Amino acid sequence: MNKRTLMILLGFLVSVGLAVAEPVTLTLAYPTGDSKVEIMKQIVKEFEKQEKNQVKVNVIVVPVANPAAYWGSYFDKLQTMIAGGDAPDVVRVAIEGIQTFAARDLALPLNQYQKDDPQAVLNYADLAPKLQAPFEIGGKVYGYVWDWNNVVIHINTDMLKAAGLPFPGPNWTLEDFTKYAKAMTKTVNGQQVYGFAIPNYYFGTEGWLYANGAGILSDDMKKGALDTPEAKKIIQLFRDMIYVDKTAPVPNATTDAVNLLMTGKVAMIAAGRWPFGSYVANKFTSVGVQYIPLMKSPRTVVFGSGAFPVIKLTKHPKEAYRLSAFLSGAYSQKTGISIDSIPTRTSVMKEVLPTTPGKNWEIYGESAAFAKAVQSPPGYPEVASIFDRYTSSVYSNQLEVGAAMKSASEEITKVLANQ
Amino acid sequence: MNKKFSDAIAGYLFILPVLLLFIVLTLGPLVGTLLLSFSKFSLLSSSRWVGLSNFFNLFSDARMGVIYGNTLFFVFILVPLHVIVGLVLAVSVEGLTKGSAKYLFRTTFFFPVLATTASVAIAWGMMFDTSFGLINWFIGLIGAKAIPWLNSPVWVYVAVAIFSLWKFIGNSFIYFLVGLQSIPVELYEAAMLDGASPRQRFFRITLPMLSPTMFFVVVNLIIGAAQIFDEPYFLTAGGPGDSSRTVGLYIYETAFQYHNYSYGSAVALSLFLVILLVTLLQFKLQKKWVFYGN
Amino acid sequence: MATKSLEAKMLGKNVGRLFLQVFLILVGLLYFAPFLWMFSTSLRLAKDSFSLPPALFPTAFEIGNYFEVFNKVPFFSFFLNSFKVAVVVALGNVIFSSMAAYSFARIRFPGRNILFLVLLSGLMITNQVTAIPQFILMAKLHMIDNTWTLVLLWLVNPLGIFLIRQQMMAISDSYEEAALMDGANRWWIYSRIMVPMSVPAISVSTVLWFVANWNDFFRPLLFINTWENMTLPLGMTALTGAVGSGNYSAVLAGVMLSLLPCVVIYIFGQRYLLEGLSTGGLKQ
Repeated sequence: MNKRTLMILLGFLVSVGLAVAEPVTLTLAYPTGDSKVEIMKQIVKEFEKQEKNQVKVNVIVVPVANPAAYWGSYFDKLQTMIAGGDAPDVVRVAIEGIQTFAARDLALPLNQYQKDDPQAVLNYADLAPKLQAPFEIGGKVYGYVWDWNNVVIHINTDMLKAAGLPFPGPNWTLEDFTKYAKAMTKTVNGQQVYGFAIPNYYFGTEGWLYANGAGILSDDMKKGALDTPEAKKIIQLFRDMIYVDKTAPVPNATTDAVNLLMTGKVAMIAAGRWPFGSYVANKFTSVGVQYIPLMKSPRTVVFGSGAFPVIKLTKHPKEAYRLSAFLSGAYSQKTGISIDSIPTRTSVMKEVLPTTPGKNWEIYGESAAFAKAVQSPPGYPEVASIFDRYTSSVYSNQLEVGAAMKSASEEITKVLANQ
Repeated sequence: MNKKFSDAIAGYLFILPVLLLFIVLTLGPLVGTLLLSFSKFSLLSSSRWVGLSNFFNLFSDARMGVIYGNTLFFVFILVPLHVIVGLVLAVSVEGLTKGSAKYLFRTTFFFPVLATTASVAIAWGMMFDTSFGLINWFIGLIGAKAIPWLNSPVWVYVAVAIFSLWKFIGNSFIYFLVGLQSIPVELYEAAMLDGASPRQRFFRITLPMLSPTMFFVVVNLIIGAAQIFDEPYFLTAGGPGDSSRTVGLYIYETAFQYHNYSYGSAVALSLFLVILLVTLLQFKLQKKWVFYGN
Repeated sequence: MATKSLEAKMLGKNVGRLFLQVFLILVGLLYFAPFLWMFSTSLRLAKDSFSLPPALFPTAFEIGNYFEVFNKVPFFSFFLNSFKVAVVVALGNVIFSSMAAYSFARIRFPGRNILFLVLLSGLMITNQVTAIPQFILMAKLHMIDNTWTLVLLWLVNPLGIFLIRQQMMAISDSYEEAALMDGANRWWIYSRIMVPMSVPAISVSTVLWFVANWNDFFRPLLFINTWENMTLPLGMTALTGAVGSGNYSAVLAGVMLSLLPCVVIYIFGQRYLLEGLSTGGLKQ
């Protein structure tokens, strides 16, 4: 073989070798609010092992500075990265954002990849169907759900005992609730403690509205619906708890209800499973959960789920699909969601939920059957901001419920029409 | 080589770095804001020209009135407060303390300026909490009712003002302090010989001699107060409702949370024009009250 | 008679003086109290962070809160990033602002006065007015999420140029003339004569500019996208998000930690600042 042929052969071998050995690098973007960077890194390491190190995953944390406008800021950052040519391949997106992502054509439909490579999803049927549904829009699959959360009432059982009250049953009424709130509002050691902390955030309020057969938006998500009598009843209830019954403290932009429950300043809060991360970290065990009081039958519980859609602009769609699917798998769910949200796989839920250190944890698993997705249309950040503005005015006693909810609904309808 | 020519070259060379950066990063963007405000811009798709429609929206935006009202209110409240409190503190520290006590007071009043704004704002947010905050606890001790610092449209201004005075008074304080130190002692001595009272000395000597410093401080304070962002962002997030939302916050929200860069630019342009006008007014008025003599 | 009223006057004056001194001490304490509260609360157990009576003096000593801060967020990176940006920006001021100031003060070139006014008008062109186009420009240049972008945006300091120019204009011509006669070029005059003689103004503008940059929240908020590149102010909000739920003590520990560099900066900077202000002053 002459020298020239040898060089060509060598060059050929080298380039083939490089092509074969070159690992694909994917970027996974995660917002700061869920502080799970280390856990995510652990999970992706397992993925890299599964892919025999042919795929490397870089976890980047996107800072979201303003908790009041969480998803709006997060999506803006993601959009910037995309526009700046630094698009991540796979991003954590919750239900609040998937509609916006899909509407702006940023997410990659995964149907074909799933058909070609179904094993990657590892038992698709295990994903609770109601929870997966929000990520399948117009027949296109945009992601596989990983975690979910709902809204229930957390009760400080020490304060309950001190008031001599029994743990409430699942069918307790609004009257029962108000009675409990009043009984647990008192002065302790010269300090005022309250019965309930108003859920002054979109998700929490939606939970209460659903329980009363209402919603922040109309069912088709085209109009604001805060001015229906059922919706106004809830907002009025909250407002009166602050200013009439005085069983709730005035909420701020910076109020942290979980902290208030743990420190015994407030006896009940409305939250999902997320506080348990803080409870465990602070060794707080005197807590139990119960459904929001039954107002309309059948019971409806709000839920929000999250997944890891693939950005359409990714240069490695097949690998990104596999990562996205892996992240919703059993290993990922067991490792990442143990304590502060709820796994979406029925099998994992059965394993993980019993470890919840709170009384009546069963309702988390049960509620998957009658959960209704929180209304997150395209344009969610602006809608949520309108909601925040008007409810904060009501809870600061600056506006009447009726007038505020009417204006809020009108503004929301306008924003939705502009999408 | 012709001296004039070599001077011109040298002159431009020395200012080149600053000039280039200024054109690219300040003047350019100013023009950019102008252009953006006449268009509908999108980061990921194409943009188009829309003429004055952003400005029509600006004038018909129901929130704009409240937002500008808040901003101007902050300007008219915070600027005089900063000047007065800064002056009072400077005069007191200069006149009443010496040596290490002076050093201690200077540090106390100036240090908050250095402290990371984000950090202390978070802490003050906790202190202002209506039900569980430090400040209301003290108020409770003297028997008064808890004040809804961050929950009432009226008290919100007071809360922001208190925070602003605590955090930034060091700026005007330090300028006034130095200004006071540079007033020649002979002027005071001559006045005392003439039998002038402390009050007369203050109003006839101190204030006029400080007026250049005061002018400088006021102009800077107005520009700063007009674009106020950090304080409302951390303490109130603009609330309750829109009661503490300033133009600065609104620009950020519109452009970077709703991705409406064009409308945000229109609002930003309006802010620039307001600041420009007010500053030019200041310069015109300075002839009336600023004393540049010796 | 006259002596008595003079004594009375002196007494009145002294009482008044005492009154004012007490007042000053009270105000000073009010300014100091928040730091005390932050420190004491940062040492409390998380579940006690909001308990009343509030902590003015440390009664608990949970140092774990401080470790918690480093566990939850890359706090050291935040600090390093802030430091890197602020130091480079400060150096930039020393060099570029003084260069420009020299030119405006001492070199006659066409358009000098107009250019100076234009540069000064930059003071009115505020953050928010330029933020959006700057952002779009940086996005197109792929310079988002880059701490050097933060540096670039802070390299022009019109106020600094103004102050240094003031001082340079007050330096006597004779030095320059002597140097020129010895055949020195402009750069030599600038670096060996003008700069050393304007140290006060340069110090003042540098310290103030450093502090302003250190506290900058708005620009990092817009331009930084990932955790590793965050500066301290932005990092503080990440800390609140990561740890906030249920542990205000740790947040306040983070607050205290973020103040440590400020103390150091103050100790080093305040001498330059005050010396500089009194000599480099604000003489119009």
